[in-house]
Amino acid sequence: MSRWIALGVAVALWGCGTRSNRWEQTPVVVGPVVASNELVWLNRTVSVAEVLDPSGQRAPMGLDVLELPRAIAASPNGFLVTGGRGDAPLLDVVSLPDGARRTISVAGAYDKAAVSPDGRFAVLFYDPAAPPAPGGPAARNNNEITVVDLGASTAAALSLNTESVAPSSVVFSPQPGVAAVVMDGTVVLVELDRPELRVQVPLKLPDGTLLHPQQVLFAPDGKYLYVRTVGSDDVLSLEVDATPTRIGSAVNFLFFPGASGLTDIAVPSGPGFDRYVAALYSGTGGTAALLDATGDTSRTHSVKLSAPAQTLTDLGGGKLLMSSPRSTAVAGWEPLLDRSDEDALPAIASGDPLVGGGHAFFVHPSVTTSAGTSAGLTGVYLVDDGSRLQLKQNPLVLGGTPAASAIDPTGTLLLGIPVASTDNGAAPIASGVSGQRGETGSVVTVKPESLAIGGLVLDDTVVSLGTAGGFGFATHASPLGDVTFFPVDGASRASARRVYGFLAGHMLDQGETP
Amino acid sequence: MLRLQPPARALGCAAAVLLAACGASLNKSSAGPSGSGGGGDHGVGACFQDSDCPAGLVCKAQACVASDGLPPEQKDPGVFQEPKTSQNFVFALSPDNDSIAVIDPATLAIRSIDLPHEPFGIEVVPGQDAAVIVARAGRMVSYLACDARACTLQSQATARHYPAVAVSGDGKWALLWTPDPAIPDQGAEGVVGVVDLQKLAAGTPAAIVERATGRRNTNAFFRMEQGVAVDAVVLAEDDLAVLPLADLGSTPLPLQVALPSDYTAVASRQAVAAPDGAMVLVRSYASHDLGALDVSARSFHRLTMPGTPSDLALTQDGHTAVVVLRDVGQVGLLSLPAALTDPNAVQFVNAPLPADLCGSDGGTCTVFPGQASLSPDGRRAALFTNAEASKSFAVLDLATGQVAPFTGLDKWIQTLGIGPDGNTLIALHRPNPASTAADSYQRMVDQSEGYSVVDLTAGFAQLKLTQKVPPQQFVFASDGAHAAVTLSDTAHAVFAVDDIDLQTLVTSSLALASRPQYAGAFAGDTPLVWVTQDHPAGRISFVDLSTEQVRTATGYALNSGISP
Repeated sequence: MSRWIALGVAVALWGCGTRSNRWEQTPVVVGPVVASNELVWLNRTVSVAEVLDPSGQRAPMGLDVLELPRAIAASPNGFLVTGGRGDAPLLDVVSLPDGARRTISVAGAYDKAAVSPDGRFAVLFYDPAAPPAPGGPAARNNNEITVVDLGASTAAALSLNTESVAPSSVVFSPQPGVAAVVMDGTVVLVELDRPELRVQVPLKLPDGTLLHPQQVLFAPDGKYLYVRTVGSDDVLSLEVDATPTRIGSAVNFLFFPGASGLTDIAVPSGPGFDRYVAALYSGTGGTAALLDATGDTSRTHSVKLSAPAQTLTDLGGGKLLMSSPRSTAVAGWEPLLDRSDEDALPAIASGDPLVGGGHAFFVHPSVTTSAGTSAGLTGVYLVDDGSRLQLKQNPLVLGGTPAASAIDPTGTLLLGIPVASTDNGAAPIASGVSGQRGETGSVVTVKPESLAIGGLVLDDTVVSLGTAGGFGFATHASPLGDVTFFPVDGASRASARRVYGFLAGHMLDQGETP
Repeated sequence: MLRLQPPARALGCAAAVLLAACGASLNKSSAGPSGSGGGGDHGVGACFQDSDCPAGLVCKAQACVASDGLPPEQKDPGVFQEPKTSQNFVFALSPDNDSIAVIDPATLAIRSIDLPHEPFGIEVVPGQDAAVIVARAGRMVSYLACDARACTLQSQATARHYPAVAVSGDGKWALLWTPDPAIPDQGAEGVVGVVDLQKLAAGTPAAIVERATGRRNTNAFFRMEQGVAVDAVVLAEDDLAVLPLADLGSTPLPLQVALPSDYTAVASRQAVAAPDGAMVLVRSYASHDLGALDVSARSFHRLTMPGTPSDLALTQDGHTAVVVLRDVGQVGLLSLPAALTDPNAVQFVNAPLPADLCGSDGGTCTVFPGQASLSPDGRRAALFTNAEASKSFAVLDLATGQVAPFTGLDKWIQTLGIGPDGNTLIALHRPNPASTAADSYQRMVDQSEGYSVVDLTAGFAQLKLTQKVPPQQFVFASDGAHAAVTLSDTAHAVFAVDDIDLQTLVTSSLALASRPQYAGAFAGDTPLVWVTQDHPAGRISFVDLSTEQVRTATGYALNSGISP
């Protein structure tokens, strides 16, 4: 369907018969999520999930989902939709690419769903800020969650009975079968195969002070759960003792003597890190420490930084990077070898680095050089020269400040940069609203090791970027859905494909009164 | 002999909180006698007249001092809630959380066990991985036994709140009591409870036998015969109360041995019970005589001394007592029990020590030791004082009575202790902030905190300066080859434990995250020691002094809240 036809249909809808209320308002759309290498948007207004195949080999699908949908979550095999009326709450399990839908009755119209990495389980939980679903009681127990066995289509509701208000997130162990339900002052470890086996770890000091989790990470082998909490300089290490018949836990507080201002934690990847968590402290000049999960402080490694850092980034291979959005200081660290190197970026970065392929990319809104001022990008990587660790930088000049960014699984960086629409090859069709601004969108791709640059100019400005199945996608501003697909490798205008109006395409048979 | 004014710091401490505030504490596990309580020298504060001071002390410059014009020696105050160790576990109470953490030092595995409300007193059952706990607010006594797999808890109600417990050496009895100056529950002065631990452990508790023992109890222990507890014994303000365990039911009132009036002021006396409970020695600043209570004979004996005892100590076999007579510069060496009847079983030796502040005339001056610290093997005693400035101590050979002064220290002594082999001594120093040493480096040394490790055989001392970080406590590991000193500077948040190799006297510092509270060693032959530290949820570190491995368990108080 051409863009003009789609717009025409949409406009025509306003003139047809008696309109339902849903046509009086802007559709509430959630997404996209990447599910089975396809993009899925949930149109909550009309209870339809719109599915687009980035490769274009499959036609767009509009799939009916449950009434009053609340949230969508991707799974390895498709996606889930939670919601339903309060008196008939449901979970839709949709597989892709066939679009087959199964509906499971659950205990509540949940606001959030988290799916285990292996796709076997989902944990459904409430958002305390969301109202109860229509048709049900005007109250709900936010301590209630439901564990869904997606293979068996069974749901087990659990009342956690904690002192916390509601779960804030669910984190799955790298080892299948265990999830940590993170609450405001409690962590509940659940055996997903047997949800009745669970253990509550109250993060409450004897004086009544609740420790509010800010960051929760599993150890690579799932034996420990690391928690960074508000206002504490200790990293909480929760031992996870899961057996077929029971699950237990014990708490330890990990510390680095004299360090204060814990700002970030990370679990380094690479051999030898199974019992380690890295912690970054911003107090007293800046310190990073590698802490033993069992509390063996003789195994601690540390590095003193010349400037405080805020962000700890795992570059893989046993290497970590420390940086700050407030300064140009950047430091590399190979903790198990007690080697480090520090340097300064050419300018302050606009945010945390994007990481891929062992490189960290920092975006600079403004870099001053002898030739003038421009936006810039710095690729940072760490090199082991045999005797010491060296931090290397590769600066790149950008034609504008990125409005969006993404990293694909191979480490290729994608940047969405506004450029002038004229003389850039953008189609004249783009000279609508964006043309009045004289801007359109472009996508720049940067390969991680070679820093080879590619990209294309789009026909509209970019709202967000992402990748799915080897394709990049750029969304554009449109209430009816507007997205451009392109291959990450060899991105060009010739290989790009724009799909717009796809949200309207499946609204035609929705909500009309004869 | 030139007598010296005590240093300002010592006076200030003595006037304020004599026994609790100043300097470092002594490791009781390696240096102190066994038995619960001890009493002595507590409650001494500022004064305006002699009547403001405990019996035997006089008011001088608004401070209570002994007859030699010096403040009483500063002794370890003792605490109730320090962790207790059995052969395989550390038992750490969490009164605020109504729980106890049972920590395996080998694996750091923590089991948190819920207890009756406000557990407060704990004693390990000798030779077992078990502990007896009294819950103050919960009015319960509990028996907790643990093995590698699980812990079992048995509790029974008590008729009143008891804050302390003593356990018999055979593990069959517990004595619930209220140590002075704790306020007795319901105003029931001196009431104690005897618990049959075997029945409690079996889950079939027998009724607790309560008896009245007088008032202001300072010591509670058991008398043993052939390894079997035969009497529960309580030293009260005015008398010794003996409860025969075999006839508890038919003995409504304890057998009493009255104390002479010059031993009844609990604030100025010290009582030490022998490990087998057969004898209690009592000293008081109000008497020149050493009191000896023969528990089995239910009799009191006076042993006349040439001066006023300022400290006393008993060897772990209970056969030798050392009595320090500071005011006359002598030390009494008593063979027990012969000394009760044979004057020849008492030997007095002179033990003057070189003083450090000799005034502007530079003349020779001495100080007298006021305290004795025994080696665990009972072969030696280190004699020293902290009531006056001195860099010297003397080693008393308990077998020969020979005194050997040691003058190789570079700083003033606050406290000291001898290691398990009797050959190594650790002295914790106190700084001399007013040092005027011409050598700037020596002035820095004088003004710094620090401690020394001394090889007594070689006569070699190694000073370790800790700058502004005061040494807090030392502990000898049971392997005899290592020791640890905890260090704490709260103002600058510097906390550490120093690892000492007693063969080489080389030290290394291991950082701690927060203020160390207590430190202790494990029984057996292990280089492992534990250090508890400040943390709202509990923190304990296990330090392997042979490898410098520090493993820390923090937040064990939270573990009791973990639930299915």
